Order: sequence, then C-alpha cells, then structure tokens
Amino acid sequence: MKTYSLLFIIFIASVSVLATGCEKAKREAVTGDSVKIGVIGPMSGSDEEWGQSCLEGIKTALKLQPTLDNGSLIKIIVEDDQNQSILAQKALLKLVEDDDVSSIIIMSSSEVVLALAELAKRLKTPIFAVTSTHPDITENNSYISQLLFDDHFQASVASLYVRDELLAERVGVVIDKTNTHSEYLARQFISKFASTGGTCIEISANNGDEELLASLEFLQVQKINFLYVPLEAEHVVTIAQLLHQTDYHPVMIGSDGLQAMMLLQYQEELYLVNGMLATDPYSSTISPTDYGERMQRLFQKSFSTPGTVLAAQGAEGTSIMLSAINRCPEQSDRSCINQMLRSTRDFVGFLGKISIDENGKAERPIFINTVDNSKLRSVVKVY
Amino acid sequence: MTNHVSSALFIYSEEGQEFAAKIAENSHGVDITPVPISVILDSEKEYLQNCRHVVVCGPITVIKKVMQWAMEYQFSLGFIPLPSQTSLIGSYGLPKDFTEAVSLALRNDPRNLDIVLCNNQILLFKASVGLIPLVDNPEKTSKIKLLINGLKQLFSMHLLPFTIRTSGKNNAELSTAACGCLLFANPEHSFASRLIAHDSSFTDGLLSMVVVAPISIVSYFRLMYRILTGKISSTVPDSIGFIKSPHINLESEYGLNVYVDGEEGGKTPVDCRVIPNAIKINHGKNLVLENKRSAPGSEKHITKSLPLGKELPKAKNKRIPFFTYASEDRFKDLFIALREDAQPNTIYLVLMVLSTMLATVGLAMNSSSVIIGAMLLAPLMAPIIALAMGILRMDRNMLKQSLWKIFTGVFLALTTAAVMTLLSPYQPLTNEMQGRLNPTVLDLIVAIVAGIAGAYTKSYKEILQSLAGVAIAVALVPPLATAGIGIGRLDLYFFSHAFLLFLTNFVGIVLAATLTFRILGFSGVVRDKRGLSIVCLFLIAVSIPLFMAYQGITEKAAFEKGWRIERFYVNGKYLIVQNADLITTGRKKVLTVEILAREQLSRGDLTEFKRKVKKNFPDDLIIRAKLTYIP
Repeated sequence: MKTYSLLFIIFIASVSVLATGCEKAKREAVTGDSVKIGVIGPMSGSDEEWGQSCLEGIKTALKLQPTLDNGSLIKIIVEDDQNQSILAQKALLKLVEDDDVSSIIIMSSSEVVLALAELAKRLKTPIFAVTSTHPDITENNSYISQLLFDDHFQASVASLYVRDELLAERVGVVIDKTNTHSEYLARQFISKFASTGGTCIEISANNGDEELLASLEFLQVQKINFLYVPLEAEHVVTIAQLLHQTDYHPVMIGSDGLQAMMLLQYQEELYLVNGMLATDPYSSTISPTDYGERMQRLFQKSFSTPGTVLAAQGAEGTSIMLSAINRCPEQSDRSCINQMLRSTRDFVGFLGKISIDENGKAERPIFINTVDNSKLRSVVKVY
Repeated sequence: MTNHVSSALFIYSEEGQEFAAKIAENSHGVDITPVPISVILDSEKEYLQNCRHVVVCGPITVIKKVMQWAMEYQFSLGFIPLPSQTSLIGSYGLPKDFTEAVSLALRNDPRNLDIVLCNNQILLFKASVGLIPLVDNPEKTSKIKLLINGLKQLFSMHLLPFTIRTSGKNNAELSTAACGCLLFANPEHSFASRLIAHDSSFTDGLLSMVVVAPISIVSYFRLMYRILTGKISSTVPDSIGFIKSPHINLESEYGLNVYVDGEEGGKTPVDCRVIPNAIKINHGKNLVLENKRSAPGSEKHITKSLPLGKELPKAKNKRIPFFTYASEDRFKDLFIALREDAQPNTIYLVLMVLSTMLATVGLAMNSSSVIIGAMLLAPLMAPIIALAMGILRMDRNMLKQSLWKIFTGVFLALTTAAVMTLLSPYQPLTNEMQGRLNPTVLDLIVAIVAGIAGAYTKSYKEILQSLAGVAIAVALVPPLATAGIGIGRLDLYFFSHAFLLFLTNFVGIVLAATLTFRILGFSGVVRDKRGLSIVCLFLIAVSIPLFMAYQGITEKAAFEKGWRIERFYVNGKYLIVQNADLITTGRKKVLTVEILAREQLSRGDLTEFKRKVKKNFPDDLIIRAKLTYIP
C-alpha cells in the first residue's frame, strides 16, 4: 500500500512539474523590440468623448495582450483628428512617414475615413476602421478594412425588420443630406423597403426646426407609425423633442453608434427616446463571450468611465490587429499585416464571431436594440 | 381505634436534628423518643430490641441502616423526608408537607413491602453498571439537557459483554452486549419508566432491570427521538432490553463499577435479589402496590432487541456502527418472502413472456397505456429486490437464485421481443421506442429512487401494494422489449441503447435497494463489502455513457433555448428561423428548423443560410428546414 501511495505521489509530482514546465514554455520573454501601431481619432473637439471612449477600449486590449507572441512590446502612437478629414490626413502621413508605424487603427467617422482612401493606397499601410461603416470605405481600396458591418447591411436589415417583422407598409425616413453616412443609410433603406413593396416618405433634417416640425406633422397626418432616423445624436434629440411637442409617437429606428452617443452625450434627454430602436454591433443584454467577459473585467478595473460600444469596438479592433500582426513572420511587414487582417476568420469578439474577408469587409451579427429606461436591450440579433 | 401508634422512636442524623423537637410535639399524642443515630450505633440492642415503631430522618445511608435494623428487629418504619430527598418522596409517596409527613410516619397501619438487596446492600432506588446513555437521568430532566448529554455520550459508547442470569419461576441465562444496565427496586417514578410498562410494584416480589444496547447510531437516534418526544408506548423500544425477576445476577468480562443509589457499590458481578414483604413501612396513598396491569409475580424477559447469538461477536467490545445490522432471526418473514422471490418458477416465466409480448405490441402501436399494462404485469422487480438483499448480506444462495431468475427473465424477454419483430412484416420506429434509446443520468436517478421505494415497500408489509407503482416508475420490461426489437431489426445501436436503459434501471434499483436495506438495518451480522463494491463498479461503468448522454440533453436544451427565434440576412433576404430541434443520432446532429420568409429562396440562399448557421453555432450540424412564406 505504501509503495502504491509513493508511486502515486511521484506521478502527481511529475505531472505537476511537467505542467509547470509546459506553462512556462508558452510564455515568450519580452525581447525589448517593439511594434508601433498608429491610432487616429477625435481626441478633442465635439466628438472628444467618442475618441476617448474608443481609446480606452484600445488600452484595455493592450492590457490583456501587452506583447506580441515573439515578445515584442506594442507601442501605440495616438493622433487627434477632431473627426476632420484634413487633420486625419496629416495624422496619417505623420504616423506612416515619421513614426514608421506598422499599421493604423482609425476611430473616426465614415466621412473622414473615406477622405483617406487615396492616401492609404499610396502609403500602402493597413488601416483598420473600427467605427466607420460606409460601404465605400473598402471599395476599390485594398488597404482599408472595416471592423463593423457596412451600411448596406445595416440599412437592409433595418428595412427588412420593419417590413417583415413589424409588418409596416409605410415608413417616414429622415435624411441628413450633409452627412454621407446618413444619406447612404437612408437611400439603402428606401431602396430595400421599396423593393419589398413598401412606401417611404422622405423628409430632410437640414431645413431648420420649423420645417422639420411641419414635415413631422405631415407624417402624423399620413398616419406613419415608423420613422427611420439614420442621424447623429444631436438631430435625433431634436426630432424627439419635436415629436414630444406634437404628441406624435412613431417608432423610431436609428443606426449604429447612435445609442452609445446618446448615452455618452445626452443622458438627460434619454427619456425622450425611450423605446427607440437602433441597429448596433453590440447589445448589453446578450451574454458576452469569454473574451468579452475578460475585457469587461479589465476595463472596469482600469477605468472609472462606463464601457460603451465605442470602447468595445476599440478593444476588438486592437485584438484583431494584434492577431494579424502575430500571424506575420516579419512583424513590421505592412503588406503581410494587411493580408492577414483581411483573412481574419471567426475571431471571437465580445458577442460572437467576426470574420474579415479579402475585400476588407466584416461579417458579424447585427443587433437591433431598444432604449429601455436608459439601458440598451436587445430586441433581435441578425446573422 | 386510633390510627396512630402510641409511641415511637425517632432516629435522626445531624440533618434531621431540627425536626426532633417538632415531632415530639405532634398533634397525634404519640410519645416520641428522639435518639441521634450515633447513639443507636453504640447500643442498638438497647434501643431497638423492644421497639415497635421507628421514624427516621436523615440521609439515604442512615435510612438504609435503619431499614436493615427494621428487617432484623421487625419494627415498622415511618419516614420524615428531608426536602432534598425527592427520590424518597416519589418512591414511597411521602408528603412534602412536614405535618402530613409526621402524620403518615406515625400511623399504625404499615404495609409489608419488598426490599431489594444488591451485593447485600439495600437498593432503595436504582443500581447502575456501565454507561447508560439517555436513560439514566433524574425524572424531570429538560429536553435540551437530554439532547446535549445524548449527543455527548454518542462518541464514548461501546457495547460491553454481559451475562445475565435470572432465577425465579423461569431460570434463564443470557449472553448479550450492552452499554450498561440499570436495576430498580421499583422503576415507577424513575426516568426509565418512560420506556417500559408501568406494571411494577413494591409487593410483586420482583426487581426490574433495563438494559441499554443501541446496536447502531441510527437506533440510538431513534431511541433519543422517542425519549425527546416523550411518546409513551406499551412496547419496549429498540435498543432497550427489560427484565423483571426476583433474582438477577449480572456478570461482565470486565470488572465494571457498580453504583447503588449513587454510591459506589463495588465491582461486577452484581447479584440482586428481592426479599418479599421484608419491611413494614408507612407509605403514601399514591404508591403502587398491586399494579392492575400485571399480576403479582409476573416475570418478564424482553430481550429481542439486544444483540444475541451470532450478532454478539460483531457487537461486543466495538464502537457502535452507524447502521443497524441484524441476524436473520429478527426478520424471519421478510427473508422467507425474499427467498421465495428469488426462486424461479413457471408463473414468473409465463408472466415475463406475456408482459414482453404486451410491451412489444405497445411499443409498435406507440400506445403508452398498453406499455403501462406490460409494466404492471412485469415480475422482474421482485428478484431484483431479492438480489439487493443477497448482495447486502452476501447470502450466496439468495444471490445465485435471484441472479439466475433475472438472467432467465431477461433472456426470455429479449428472445420474445426479437422473435415477434422478426415475424412481423411491420417494423415501425415509434416515439415510445425512440424514448427508450437515449438513456441519461436522469433515468439513473429515477431508477435509484424507485430502488429505494422498492426496498422500503418490501420491508413493510402494510405498504406492499405500492410495489406496482414502483414497477411502473422504473419500467423494466419495455426497455428490454425495445432491446429485443433491436435484435429483431438487427440494429446494434437500437439494441445497445435500449439495453443500456435496462442496465441503468437494473443497476440503479439494485444499488439503491441494497443501500436502503442497509439503512433500514438489514445488514448481515458479518458484513461483506464485496457485493456492494461490485454494484458500485457497475454503477460507475453505466454512469459514464449516461452522463455523456445527459450532457447531450443539456447541450440540446441550451441550444434550443438559445435559438428560440433567430434571424438571418441571406443574400439580401430576411429569414426568421424558429422551432429549432436538435436530434442526436449516433454521431450525427440533425438540426430541424422552420424558416419564415417573404421572398422565394433559391438553392444559393439555402447554401448561404447553412454556411451562416455552421459559422455561428457549434458542432457540425446537418440542417433540415421547413419553409413557410409570409404573404
């Protein structure tokens, strides 16, 4: 009996030693080399919260993974573009030519990223757009990739959800003609809705409050019960206030990032949009994946600000970029990083799998959320 | 005629000195001569030779001394109890009030009472030998104190060997093991009287002995429960032996201390005998002299719950086991019934064939009522319960016979169902059959509960009719019939899964019934752990595939719950996908869904849908979809 006990103890001890050895072998020692990643986003100006929130996500991802698999340290260089195209172009040039970054994460709007298209082609540097969704961003451009689904997908899903699930026949669509993102979403929504036999009534958000009010009253008379509002948070708040005045309560459907901006910038007006729907890449009522849980814990430990979808986008974008860099033999090889980024398959993000195809477009589920007493609640998930 | 004596001697100790003057001034005109005990001791003859009546007041030792003199000099005796002498007051029915006590002590109508001598010392109340948990307490002990003391003593209890000899009308010798024994001159008004019949008196010529022998922790707790709930019953509880005899001799292999009325009284052996009508005593009115429930001189030997015979070597000198054990003699009827159950017979074979035929038809018809009928007919439960008892007691005969009976029944069932299937041109796969092809841990739990119920019902005649319900719950024959159908269809998967369900039920019942019998105290005196170990090994072997199957069920439930309604955007079309059903057949996982769409779906759309499902959901699923178009 004693012999068996001794053998058992030796066996357990051997297994423990081997296990410890294996564990140690997995970890790479820090080599002292570093890889630079440029970050461009609105770090000041009216969209400062947007940029700061996204940057917190990037920092959280780097806390989770501070080095590459070969032990190289990851260094980020942040440039502020105030969500303006000219500043973004300057920042891009500086990062590529002066700082020699291996890749860039951009947190700016679709308009800004679209303005970088020509420069990106020339500089041949992989740019990962983590917040912009315009489909043209990746059109005819082999160096800009997107983390989020594009506007074509999101507007189509919104349109078909209203048509096929809410069974709407007629929808009012409010367009901000000065905003490329808004214009594209609205057009795609109308096109898809019309293709299924529905009718859309367009109104403009750019002709002042009085005319907007008149347009809304017209929709009320027309008994339109659904409003598609692919607009910035500021416009949506204005519309919500006008609807409140007229005692007109159609179901509003917004686009990505809207609810996050409402939560960040318009806390006091949230009651006006209670019950409003919006397409979004995330939902707070869906159980996160292991990655999502770890990231949330780390975020809460590191920052006192609330975690937003923008922070989640920053974190996911960084993790996907690091994964692409890790798969390259030479970790400053921009061409390889770009290729690897565009062959991301089934990366497990916050709420599910993300793939990026060879055209730089992301495939991921989309959520339609509702604002429910200041919180986002998932209504449907569309794969 | 006066009720009181004309004169009396008052013998007192230091404690009773204060009463000397008071009793001298008694209202009955009795002439009192107060004498301290110390004086009497120096010249007893002078004071006692011609004395007719004595009143005594002092500690128990003084009272006993005076009682000895009373026997010797034949004077009658009265007591003035000290306020602390509650046992004396209770035993002899003495008044607590001094005036009344004086009146009683001086009366001239004493009664002849028995006296018990233990090792030649007068036993006034009780004598104890060994540790006597729960029973040896003052008459009015609080329940909390009882509970605490009972639990404390739980860890120090051992059963010690005793030889008890009684002589009277029935001479007997009994070898047993017990924690300890309590001997009473008269058990009435003692704590132990809660456990025994109230038929003792000071004039029946008998002394009583309570033997405390809890043979397991379980029976100790049962005794504790009875004492704490204060249930008075005419039956002596388990763990207690009760003897009434004119002469009891108690021997132990060890020299155990004997305490007589709380005072050390030497070591074992102890010899106690009754001297009938030994003393004339003035006692109170409520003293039981001739108990109506027992004729004078009626001896008793209630020793059936004491370890005897084969049980003795197991019990004595050992720490008390947790579960009760028993020799076969204790449960003769049960063992006779179980041996009958283990015997193969024609009725069993016929019933087995008939129930299998009924089950096979019921399964093919997908009729649960016909299958229930087959369950009711099924005679397999009885030999399985007998097998469980055989395993517990390692009764090779019972084990062999019950195993052979089960094996025969299983063989017959498989053959019958297989032949019926082979001969039938119609071989459907019904829901009732499918339901028996995916046994899980839940089935094992059902079997275990049914096994417990089976053993429990078998142990108590009054609930034996519940066995049919238990048989239904476990359903032994339908899985066997399904396995037989599998043989008939030459389908190994079919056979193996249905037979696994039967094995699950079988092992579950056997294990649970074995353990239940053990808890209920049917373990053999000489216990053999081999049988139980084999069953446990079988259980582990059966549990592995069952656990895997259970995981499959939970996965399926989680998948289906998570799915509820999903939406897919496929090539510009919006699909609402609902009613997901995941079926695992062998290694294949088939997902059946219902798709709601407004546009016509092409082959390309369905391929893209399949790709998205496979991408976003675990496992390699085979997808089957039912399409519904929303107009």
